[in-house]
Amino acid sequence: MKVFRRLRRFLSAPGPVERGAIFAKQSQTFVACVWTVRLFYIVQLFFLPSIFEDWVEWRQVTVLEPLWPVFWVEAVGISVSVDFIVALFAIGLFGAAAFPQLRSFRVLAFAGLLLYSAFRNSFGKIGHSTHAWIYVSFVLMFLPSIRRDGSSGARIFRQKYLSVILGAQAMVLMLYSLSGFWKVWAAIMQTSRGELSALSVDGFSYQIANRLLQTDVESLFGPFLIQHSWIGAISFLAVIYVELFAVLALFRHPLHRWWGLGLIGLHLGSELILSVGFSKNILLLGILLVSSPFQPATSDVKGVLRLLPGAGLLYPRGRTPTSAE
Amino acid sequence: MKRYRQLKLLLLAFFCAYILAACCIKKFKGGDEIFPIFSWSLFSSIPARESHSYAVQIVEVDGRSFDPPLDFMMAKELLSGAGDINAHYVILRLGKAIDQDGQSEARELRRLFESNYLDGSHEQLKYQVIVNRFDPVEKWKTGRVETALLKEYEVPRRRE
Repeated sequence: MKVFRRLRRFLSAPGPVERGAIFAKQSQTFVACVWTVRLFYIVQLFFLPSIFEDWVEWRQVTVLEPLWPVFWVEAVGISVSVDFIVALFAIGLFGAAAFPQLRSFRVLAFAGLLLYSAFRNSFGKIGHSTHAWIYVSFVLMFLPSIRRDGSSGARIFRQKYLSVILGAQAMVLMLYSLSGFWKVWAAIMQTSRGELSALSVDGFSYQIANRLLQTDVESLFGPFLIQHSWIGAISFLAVIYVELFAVLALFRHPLHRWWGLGLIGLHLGSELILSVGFSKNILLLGILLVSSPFQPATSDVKGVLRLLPGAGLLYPRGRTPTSAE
Repeated sequence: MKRYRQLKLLLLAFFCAYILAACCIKKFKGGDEIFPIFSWSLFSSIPARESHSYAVQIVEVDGRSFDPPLDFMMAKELLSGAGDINAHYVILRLGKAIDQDGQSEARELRRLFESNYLDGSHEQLKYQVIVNRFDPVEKWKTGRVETALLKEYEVPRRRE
C-alpha cells in the first residue's frame, strides 16, 4: 500500500501534498458518488430511442461479420437475437437506473450494452462511440452493494465505493492518454523517417483533408484550417497535450472539471473540423469529470493553473507562487 | 481492509492489463482492435503526401449507365447505404483484399458490402472497385486524383 500512496503523492500535485485529500469529506463525496452512478444509468436510457430505430432495420439483416460476443446470432437467428439483445439492454438499463445499488441490474446493463455494441459493430467496421461506456459499466459492476436501509455503512465501505468511482474515471482518462500517446509515438516515428508528421506545420491540414475526402463531408472549420495550416498545427498540439496528460488529471481533483471540459471541447472541435462526432463520450465526460464527485466546491484560477501538467516546472514541489510571480 | 486492498489491486491490474493488451494489439494486429479492447490510436499518423485509397464506383443501375461512374459515397440519392462511414471502411478492406489478392477475404467482404450497403430495391447493379492515388490537400483543393480499376462486379438480383 505504501507504493500506492507514494505513487499517488507523486502524481497528485506539484505543491505540498494534502494528506487524505480524496477521502477528506468522505460521507459527502459518497452521496455524490451514488448520484453519479444513478445518473450514469439514467443517461443511457437516452440511447434507447435510437436503438429502437435500429431494431426494426436490424431484424431484416441477413449477412453479418459478427464480433465474438455475438458469434451465436447467426446460428440462433438474427431477428430473434436482435429482439433478445435489445430487450436485455432495455431491462438492464431500466433496472440499473431504478436500483443502481443492485449489482444484478448493473451486470445486466453491462451485458446488454456489450452485446448491443458488439452487434452494432458487426457490419464490417468497429465504431468507438460506446466503448468508454462499456468500460465504465464493467468497472461499476465492482461497486459494493449498499445496505437495504440505504445507509452508507462503515468508512471502509464508503472508501471501497469511492475507489470504484475513481477507477471508472481512471478508465475513461486512460483512453484519452493512450490516444495522446499514440499521436506522440506516430509523430516521433514519422519525423524520424522524414515523413509528414504531427510536428510538421501542414501535418494537420493533411489529416483534415484526408478525413473530409474519405466520407465526402463538409465541416465548418476544416477548410479554414487546411488553408491556414499553422493554426491547425497549434490546435493539434493542444489536443495532444490535453489527451496525453488526461490520466494525470485523475490525481489532481481541482482539474477534474476543467479537464472534462477540455476533452468535451476536443470532441466539439473534432466535430467542427473533421466532422467526427463522439457525442456519447461528451455525456460520459460530463457525468464523470465535469460533475466529478471528488472536485472541491471552489477552486481559484491560479491554483488550477498551478496543477496543470508541466506547470510544476515553473512551480516545483513545495514552492508556492508569489503574487509578484 | 483486506477486501479493499484486493479491490484496489484488481482495478489496478485491470488498467495495466488493458494498456498492455492495447499496446500488443497495436503492435501485432493490423486492425487495432480485439473488441472491445482498442488501442485508441485515432488520427495518430498523418497521411502521406502520396496517399492511396480504395473506392467503389457505380457504373450501372437497373439498365441506367453512369458515365463517368458515380462515386458510391456520393450516391446518397440513389443508394441508402451511401455516405455511411461503416461502408467506407468495408470498401477500404475490400479494395485492400483485392489489391493483395486475398480472394476468400474479398469474397466475404463483397457479400457483406452488397448485403448491407447496396440498396436491395434495385434489380441490377454494376460497380467497380478502384484504387485512387492522390495528395490529400491537392485533391481537396483541386479534385486531382489518379485512378486505376481493380475489379468490376455485377449484382443481378437481391433480396427477393
